[in-house]
Amino acid sequence: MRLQAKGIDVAYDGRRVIEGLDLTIPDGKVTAIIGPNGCGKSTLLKTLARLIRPTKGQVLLDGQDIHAAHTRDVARKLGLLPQSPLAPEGITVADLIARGRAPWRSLLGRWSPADTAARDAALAATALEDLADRPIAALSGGQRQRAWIAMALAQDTPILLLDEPTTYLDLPHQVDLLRLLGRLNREQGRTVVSVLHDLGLAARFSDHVIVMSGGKVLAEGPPSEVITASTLATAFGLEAVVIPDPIANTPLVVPV
Amino acid sequence: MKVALVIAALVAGVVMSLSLGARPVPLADIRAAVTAFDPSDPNHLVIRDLRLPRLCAALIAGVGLALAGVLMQAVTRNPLAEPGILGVNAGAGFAVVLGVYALGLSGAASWLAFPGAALAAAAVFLLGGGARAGSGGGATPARLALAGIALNALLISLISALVLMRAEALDVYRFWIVGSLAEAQMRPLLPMAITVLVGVVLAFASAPGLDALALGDEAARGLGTRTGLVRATVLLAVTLLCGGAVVVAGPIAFLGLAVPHLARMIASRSVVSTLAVALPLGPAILLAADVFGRVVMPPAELRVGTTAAALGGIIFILIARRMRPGEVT
Ligand SMILES: Nc1ncnc2c1ncn2[C@@H]1O[C@H](COP(=O)(O)OP(=O)(O)OP(=O)(O)O)[C@@H](O)[C@H]1O
Ligand SMILES: [Mg+2]
Repeated sequence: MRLQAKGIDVAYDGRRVIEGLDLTIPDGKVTAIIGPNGCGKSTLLKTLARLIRPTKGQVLLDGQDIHAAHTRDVARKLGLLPQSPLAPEGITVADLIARGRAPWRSLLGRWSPADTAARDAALAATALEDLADRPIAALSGGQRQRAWIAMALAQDTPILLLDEPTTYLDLPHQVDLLRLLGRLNREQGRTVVSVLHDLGLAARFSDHVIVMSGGKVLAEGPPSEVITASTLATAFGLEAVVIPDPIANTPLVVPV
Repeated sequence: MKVALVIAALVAGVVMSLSLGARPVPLADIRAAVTAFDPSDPNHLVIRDLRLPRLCAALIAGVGLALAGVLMQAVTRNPLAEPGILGVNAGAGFAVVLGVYALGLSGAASWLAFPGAALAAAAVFLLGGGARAGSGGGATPARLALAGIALNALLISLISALVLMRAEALDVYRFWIVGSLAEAQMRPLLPMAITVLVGVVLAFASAPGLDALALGDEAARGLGTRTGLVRATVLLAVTLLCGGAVVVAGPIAFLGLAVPHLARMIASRSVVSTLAVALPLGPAILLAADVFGRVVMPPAELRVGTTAAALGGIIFILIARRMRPGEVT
């Protein structure tokens, strides 16, 4: 397994947010992380992506402590879309996506045909071709979100970590995006990990679900085993009935 | 195309700067002064002893301030950041003046410009959110601008106090408060040219990292950017660029503000191309300001700090008028 966390503690200003967490991200699968607001999902993703150093334990990428690896090597293996990225003012969609190529470019930053190919593939995958020359500021929230995802795709990493990629998207675009992630996984063998809030969509479009609560992993496994009335009650304090989804037979959460 | 215009403007600025002034020198004499110098020809003497040093000083200061402005705006993500307004130039100037008047140093005092600029730039970066890597950390644009302006005012008043206590030549005051290219021949031009050149190289080296930083620290690090290294490089570059500029021309304001905005209108979005346009544009505007100050009311001369602030201010007002809300340039 390429990405693992071993007994990590993570703290902000001495306040522990994640405690003794062990986790293995299954290779070549689509994984969803779910859990209530503030339970540490973003913190976990940032720690896995080397943005935060755990106070205890370590994150291993290909068996090596991720903090011992070169920043650029990590960025070629693992891409992260943060929950609230900043768009530089005036930047266009195509420019933003091009910035995803940063870890692949030489010191002088010469643009290569491979860069063009990756940018165009990302534009096509997110259906943004027609908006390529629009400034980001002139897009709707959902279009903007797709532009960010396209940037992460252009980074062309075998492992993709996405923090709430479906926020701001309408239901059809949420479904489109999750299908796109599924395609990237099946056709290119990429490992995809996303934080999602819609439990039904998480169940429907993931191979593996990780339920977090209070900085710990409460349960993990295939959606049908993990998304149950009792885990939901413990993690979210939500009373719900879980019934099979009539189309895919995956768990569907109906609050009581 | 537009870039060609900028370069043409720079060439025109160079020629005018050499030929115009209290004693106009025809083009042929300028060439001869360089290729076949004749010490008995007053025109040759003017070119070699006064105008060429002055031109060099303008090139050094124009490049230094313009690139420092681009870097500061990029690293603080603040379109108002500028070495003049935020006190970096004044920090350099204050350190030199302190060296001369309080410590009794002479030539060596020039080098104090660099620690002075570094301290002021570090203060600006800390306020601009450079220190805190987390998202949402750091200062709001308003806080950065207010603190920078306050720092600048304080340093300028300290410089005035030190200079005016001595009540020597008004020229000293003009140089350290306003900025001036007169007496450029007395400045350490060669060392400052080398220093600014190193700053230019560092500026271009930090450009890809600054492009990534514009996406926020987390995204930048996710893209493999060593954010601390980029910030440290920028801090060093700004120090060398501003320190060098201030030693040869004094704390000129507004050039570093107007040039990056103008350059972004001409260049594409990336920091590299903005730097590449600012590189000829900075000295072109500074030379235009200097030539204007020399010809407007001869034989007296307006100091370049005054004319550059006026020209930079006018340019900036025009740019600001064209800006729509939520847009940088
Ligand atoms: N930069 C920070 N400094 C201090 N505390 C933080 C910081 N970021 C997050 N926290 C705290 O850490 C805890 C976990 O935050 P995190 O962002 O990981 O939650 P999350 O599960 O992603 O929540 P959400 O669903 O709202 O995005 C919260 O209590 C939060 O207040
Ligand atoms: Mg979060």
